[in-house]
Amino acid sequence: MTAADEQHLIQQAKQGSHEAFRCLVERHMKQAYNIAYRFVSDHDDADEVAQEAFVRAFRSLGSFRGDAGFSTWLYRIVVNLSLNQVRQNKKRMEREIDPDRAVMISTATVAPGEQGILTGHLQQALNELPTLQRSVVILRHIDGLSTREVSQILHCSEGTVKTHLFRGLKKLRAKLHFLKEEVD
Amino acid sequence: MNAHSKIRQQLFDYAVGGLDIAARKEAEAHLATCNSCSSNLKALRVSLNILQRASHDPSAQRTEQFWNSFAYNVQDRIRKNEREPSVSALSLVQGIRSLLVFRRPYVIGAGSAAAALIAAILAWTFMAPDQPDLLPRNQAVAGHTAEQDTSARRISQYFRKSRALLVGLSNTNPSDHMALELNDEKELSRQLVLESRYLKRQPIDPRSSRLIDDLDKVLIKLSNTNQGKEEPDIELIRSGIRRENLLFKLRMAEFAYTDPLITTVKNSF
Repeated sequence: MTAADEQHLIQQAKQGSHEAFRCLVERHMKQAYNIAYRFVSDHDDADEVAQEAFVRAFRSLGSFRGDAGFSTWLYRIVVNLSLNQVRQNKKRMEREIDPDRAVMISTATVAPGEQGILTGHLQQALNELPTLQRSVVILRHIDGLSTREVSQILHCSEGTVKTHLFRGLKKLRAKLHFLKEEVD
Repeated sequence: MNAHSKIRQQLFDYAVGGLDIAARKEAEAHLATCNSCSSNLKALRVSLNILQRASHDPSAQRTEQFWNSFAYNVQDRIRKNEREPSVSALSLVQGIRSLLVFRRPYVIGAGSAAAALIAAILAWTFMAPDQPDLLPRNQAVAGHTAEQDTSARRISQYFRKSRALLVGLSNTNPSDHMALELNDEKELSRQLVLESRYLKRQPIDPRSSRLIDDLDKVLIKLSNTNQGKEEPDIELIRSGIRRENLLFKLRMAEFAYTDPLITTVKNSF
C-alpha cells in the first residue's frame, strides 16, 4: 500500500467509512500490538490497548491534520494508553500483592528456554528504566522507528531522543551486565 | 555543541549503521582519539547485542485466527461506542457527579440559596401587605369540598361587585349632581351588606374578614345616605375609600380568589 493509498483511506475513514478504517487497522495492527506489548508485557493487556487505540483513533480522526504520518499519530495513542495501563497495573499490584510476588508475575509470561530467559531479563530491565528512556529504547531500537518518528510520538526534540536512548541503553547494559559473558 | 557531545549522541546511529558516509568518517576520527566514546561504543554494542537476542516479535505469538478477528473486534467496539450516550451527555453526567463528590459544600450552599429565593418569592406573592391571606390551614387540610367552592365563589362575587361599586363612586364628579341617580348603588350596597353577614359566618381568612369589615363601613354609609345631603356624604365615602386604599385591597383579594393557579396552590397547603 502506497502513502497515497493510505491518504485516500484516511479521507474515506474521516467521512465515516468503516471499511476504509478496517483496511487501516489491518495495516497497522501488528506494529501497534508490538509497541503495546513492549510496555505492558502481557498479551491480553496488549490486545486491549491496541484495540482501544484504534477505537480512539477512529473517534478522533477528525482532528488528525496529517502533520505527522498516520502511524506516528496512532503510535502516540498506543504509547499513551500503554503507559496508562502500566500505571494501572502497578497500582493494582501494589494494592493486591506483595512486591516479591509482583516480580514473579512480571516474568511469568516469559516462554521457557534461553530466548525466554533473555526476554524475561530484558523486560525486567526495561520496566526499571524511567518512562521516557524506556519509551525511547522500545520505539527507537526494538520497534525500529526513526529518531524523527520517536520524537514526534513523544513530543520531544530529536536531540532529546538521542540523549535518552544513550542513557537508557547504558542503564540497560548495567542491569544486564551478568549476561555480558554469555554474549561475548 | 562540541564534537564530543555530538558524537556521543550519534553513537547509537553509528553502532547500527545509520549514519551517512561523512558523518561516519567524522565519528570514526573522534573514536580513534577519545577513549570515553570508544568505551561507550563498546558498551553500547554489548547492550544492542543483548537486545537483539532478547527481542522477539510479540505479534508472532498470536494465532492467525486472532489477527483475522482483530479488525472485526475493533469495529464492534466502535459500533458499540457509537450506540453509547454522546460524549457531551456523558460529560454532563460526569460533571454533575464530580460536582457532588468534590464540591458538595458549594452545591449545598447553592441549593439552599435557590430554595430560600423560591420561598421568598412565594412568600412575597401570597403574603404581600394588604393582600388576602391563604385560606386557613385547617380548612385546606380538611380537603377541598363543594361547600368551600361555593363559599369561595360568593366571596369572589362579593369582592368583584364591591370593587365595581367603589370604582363607580370614585369616578363620580361632584359637579354632576347625580344624587337622584344613586338608588341603584344604595340597593347594591344593601345587598352587599347582607352578603357580608353570610360571609362572616364562613371560615374565611382573617385578612379577607378585615377587608369585609372595612367595606361594611363604606357600604352601610352608602346605603344610609341621606338624599338631601348626598354630596357631602359621597365625598366622605370617597375619602374613606382612598384612605383605606380599598380599591387596591379589593383588586388583590379578587385576584387571589379568582386566579386558578393561586387557587390551586392555595388549596394544596
